[in-house]
Amino acid sequence: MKTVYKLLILLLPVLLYTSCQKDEYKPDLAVGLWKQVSVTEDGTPMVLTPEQDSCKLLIDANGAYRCYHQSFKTYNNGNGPTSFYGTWSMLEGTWINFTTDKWQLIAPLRSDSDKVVLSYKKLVRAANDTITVIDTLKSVQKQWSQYHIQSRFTILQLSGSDMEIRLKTFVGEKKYALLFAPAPSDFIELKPAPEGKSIYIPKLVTDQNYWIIRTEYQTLKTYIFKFKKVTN
Amino acid sequence: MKIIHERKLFQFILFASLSLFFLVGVTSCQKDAVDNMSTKIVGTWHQTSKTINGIPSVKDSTRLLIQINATQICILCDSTSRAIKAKTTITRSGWSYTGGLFNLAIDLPASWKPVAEANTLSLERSDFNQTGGITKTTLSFERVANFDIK
Repeated sequence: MKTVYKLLILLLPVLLYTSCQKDEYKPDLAVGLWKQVSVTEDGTPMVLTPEQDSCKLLIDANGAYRCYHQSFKTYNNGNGPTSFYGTWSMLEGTWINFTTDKWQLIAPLRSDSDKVVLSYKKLVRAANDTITVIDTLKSVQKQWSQYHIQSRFTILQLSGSDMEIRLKTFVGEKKYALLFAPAPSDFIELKPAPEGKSIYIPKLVTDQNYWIIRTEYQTLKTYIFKFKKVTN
Repeated sequence: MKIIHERKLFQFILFASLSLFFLVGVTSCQKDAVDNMSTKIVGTWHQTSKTINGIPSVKDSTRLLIQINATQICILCDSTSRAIKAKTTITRSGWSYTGGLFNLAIDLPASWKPVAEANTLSLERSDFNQTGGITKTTLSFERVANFDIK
């Protein structure tokens, strides 16, 4: 009986140690080149454009990642940016954080009419024929504010060949972000390109789409991104 | 009676200590493998060749000579005509070695995978090309005598 007790005392730390080892994912597994294969929104597969479908992630062991997609490839006369970057980290082997560029809607409304404030410019079509048009470039720069922030994904699956991550966020937070490849129809090109700034920005906010976009920033949905490993 | 009780107590403490020692031993062994790459790459290096996806290419004139200092500062000698004209032939950049990658501040987010021997150093980086493929650039260096770069 004494021997049994002694064995139990000796085995106790082994039991404690093994019971503490949760089913955690190791950061090493995330490192490598990944190809996005699908995105679902509240369980429904999203229809991806060819530009979004090209999305790839290159995750480095030093905490930096780069993302490839063609959402803005047609900009700058076909020489638009295709590579984007941020940082990543794993938390408790359960969550994976990616930092990414996002845009916040800051479009002002007129105090007297609840109409979207837009900038206008005069356009000379011919002699004595001048019209006033919306200055898209000036307007969008006053309507959107860009920032770089972290998004925390729950790891659903991470192996040598597959990565499946889930994010619960507002529709607008996903749509108007480089997470991971935005739909080209949600962005426009800034022409002429502002010096030292991105040449892409979310679309023009008008009276027609203002409340739609506002609602997108108030609607929570769950997104699941699936990736297949290309190389380590 | 008292002696028997003390002996039992002693045995209990002994076994408890042994088991704790075992636990500490197991957990202390779980350290990350450490290499001495951050020491190996320190020195002054002269670029001998450049390859893109294994195909020889024109040397990278922006860093024909690099000096990796132990103070986490890397000095790059840029011999391009543009740098000479602008008098910016010397560039200083912070560096670190994390996750098996040599991170040069001026190159981030791209980083370099180093392979260092006593007198040779090769640095390989991967970048996306315009079509989404991966382009691998490798710079090879040989060690030269250390000197002050001003």
